[in-house]
Amino acid sequence: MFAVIKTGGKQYKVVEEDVVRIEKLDAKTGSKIAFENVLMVGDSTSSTFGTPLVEGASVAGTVMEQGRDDKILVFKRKRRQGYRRLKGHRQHVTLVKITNIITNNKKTSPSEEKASAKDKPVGKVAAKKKKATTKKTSSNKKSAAKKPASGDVIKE
Amino acid sequence: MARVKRGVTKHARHKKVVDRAKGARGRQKNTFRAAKQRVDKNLQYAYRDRRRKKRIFRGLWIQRINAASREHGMTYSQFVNGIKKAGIEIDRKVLADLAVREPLTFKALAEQAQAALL
Repeated sequence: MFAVIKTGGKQYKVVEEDVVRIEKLDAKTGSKIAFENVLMVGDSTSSTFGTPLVEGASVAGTVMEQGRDDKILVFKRKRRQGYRRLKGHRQHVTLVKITNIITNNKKTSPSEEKASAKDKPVGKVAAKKKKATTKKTSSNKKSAAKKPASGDVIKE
Repeated sequence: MARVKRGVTKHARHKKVVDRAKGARGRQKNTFRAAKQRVDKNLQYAYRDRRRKKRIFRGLWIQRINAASREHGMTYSQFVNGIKKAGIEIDRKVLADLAVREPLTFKALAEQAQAALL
């Protein structure tokens, strides 16, 4: 069972229990994330391709760590002009552990049954992106302006 | 009392550069003067190639997708046209990965692409 999700301008093929290193998301360590941009879900027998997104599918994950990548030295130089620039750069990254892949609101990982069942009624934080899915419009209440509390599910 | 040798700061400054030139050829890995030039050039190459890397990998993915789609009787160009018409927006990085690791999924994709072209 795997899914292809899109976040931070990139697409990732993920399997449950995977830890993916993605562009920074605004979320606290330990908080839960729901990736709504699922491009496909597949396993050894069948696969569903989204056009472009798979309807009703989402991938749940937990933030393991908020960190920064290894340092990159950005060095520019023009010969004979005395132009030199040296700058360090560390990209912000979020390590996310994929907990389960949900298709049509049906859970696939029994081990996560309890955790995600508990999360369901919690008010969900509106995503920055305006990908209108049916589920989102129903749960997108007053929490738009609020800061994500640790119990909330952050949609991406 | 132990004798104090001078040039500690300079030595440390030079060492920083020479250490970074580790693995270079000839004098470039041992002497400050040559190492400094090597390190500057290497950093310039690194900057350039971080950008090139993106193009090179895209090229590699395209080759892989091409090979895989030809196994299903389509050229790369037809395949990409097909999945675009089918509304699938999976990028070339993931497509190449699927082509290699999930041949069955790729086959399903190829069928979708074929259907969308008709």
